Amino acid sequence: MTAPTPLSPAPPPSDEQLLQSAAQGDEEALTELHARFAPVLYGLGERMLRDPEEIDACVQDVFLNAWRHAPRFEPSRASVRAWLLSIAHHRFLQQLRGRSGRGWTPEEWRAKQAGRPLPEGSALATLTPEQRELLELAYYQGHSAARLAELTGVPLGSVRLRLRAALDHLRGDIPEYQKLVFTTLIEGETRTP
Amino acid sequence: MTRDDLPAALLGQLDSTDQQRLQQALDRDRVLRGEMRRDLEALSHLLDDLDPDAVSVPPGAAEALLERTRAETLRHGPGEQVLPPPVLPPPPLPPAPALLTPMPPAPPPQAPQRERPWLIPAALGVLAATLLGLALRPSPDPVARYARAPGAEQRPIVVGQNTLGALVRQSDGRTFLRLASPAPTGYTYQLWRIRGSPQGPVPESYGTFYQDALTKALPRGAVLAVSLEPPGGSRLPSTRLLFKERL
Repeated sequence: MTAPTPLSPAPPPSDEQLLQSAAQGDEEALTELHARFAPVLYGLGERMLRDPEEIDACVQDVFLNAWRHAPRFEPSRASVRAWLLSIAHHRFLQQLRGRSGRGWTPEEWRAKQAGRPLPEGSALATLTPEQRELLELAYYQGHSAARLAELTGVPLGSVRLRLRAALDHLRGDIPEYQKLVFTTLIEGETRTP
Repeated sequence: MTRDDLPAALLGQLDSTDQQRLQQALDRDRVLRGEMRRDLEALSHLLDDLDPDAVSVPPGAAEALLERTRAETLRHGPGEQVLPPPVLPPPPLPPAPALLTPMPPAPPPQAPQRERPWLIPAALGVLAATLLGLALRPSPDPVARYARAPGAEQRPIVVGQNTLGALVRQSDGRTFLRLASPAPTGYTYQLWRIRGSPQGPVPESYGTFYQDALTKALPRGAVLAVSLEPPGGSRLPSTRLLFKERL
C-alpha cells in the first residue's frame, strides 16, 4: 500500500468559491472577485451612463449587493459573471430611469457603437445588424418595447418577436458544419512541446 | 408566462405585476428557470466586444468597497444580512439585486456520466472560433501580460488543427491558462493534473474556472487537462478531456 500522494498547491478558487468566501467575510476573496469582474462591470457602466462618478457609485452598489446576497447565490440559476452583470444592468437601469441618470441618445449610441470592432467568432457575430441594434438599444439604453417601436419604426409585436429571436441567436447553437469539423478531434495524445 | 416573456423581464420592460407573475412562474417551473438561465448567459454575450484592458477601473475602488462592507458589518453584525426583494427586472429605487429569488430545494447532484456527444465538438467550435477574435484584439490580453514576465514560456493549446487557447508557464512553475471562449452555458471548465500511478493515469482536480486559470508552481513535465463539467465541478472528469498538455 503506497502512501497517498501529497496534495499539490491549491488551484485558484473558482468564481463561486470566491463569492462564498467573500460572503463569509474573507476580504481577500472579495478583492479578488473585484479584480476579476470590475473591468466588465465598469465597461457595462460606460455603455449605459455618461458620468464616471455615477458609474463608480453604481458598481460599488453592485458589489455590495452581491456581497450581501452571496449566501443565496444559486449556481444552477446563473454563472457568477452573468449574475453580477444582471445586478449591474439592473442598477444602471435604475440610475438611467431616475432623475439623476444621464444616458446616451440613440444617435450618440450609434456613434459610440460604430467605433467598436465586432469580435469574430463571438456569439455577437451571429446577430444581424438590425437584431444587434434592437437588442443593444433595449439592453444598454433601457428602452421599452413601445419606445423601441417608435425609434426603429418596427411594429410593437415585431419588436418583441425580434428581441426573442436575437436572444435565441445569442444562445447560439453551433452551426452543423462546425460540429462536423470538430467531431474527429480530441481523444488526445498528450502533446509535448 | 412563457419563455417569450423572458426577454422583456431581463431587459427591465415588465411592470411590477408582470414581474410578480413571472417570479411565481419561475418558482414552480424548472424548465422556465433553465430558459431564464440560458437567456441570462446569452445577454452577457453583449459584452463580448468589450476590451477589459481599455476600461478604467478607478484607483482605490476595491479598497472603497472593503470599507463599505466593513461599515455594513459593523452596522448589521454578522449574519444579519438584508434580505433581497423578489426581483427579476429592475423595480424603482432603491437599488436591489436581480435574480435573487426564493430558491427551490437544491436539486439532486447531477449524474456525472451523462453523455452529450455534441457538447465537446460544440465547445471546441466556440473555442476555436473565438480565439480568432481574441487574436485580432488590438490591446494585449492576459496571456500577453503573463508572457511578458521574465523567463515565461508561452505556447498555444492546439488540438488537431485548432487552437483552443494558450498557456504561459512562469519561471517559478506557475502556469496561466486561458481558453479562447468562456465555458458554455450550464457548464464549467475543470482543470485537472494527470498523475501517473501503477494503476494508470489519475486525474487530480485543480478546480473549476470560467475562462482563465492560474496554477501554483508545477514541475516541468506535469500534465494538465481540462474537461467540461456541471456547475461546481466533478470528482472525476465526466466528459472527454478537451485536451491534455505536458508542461
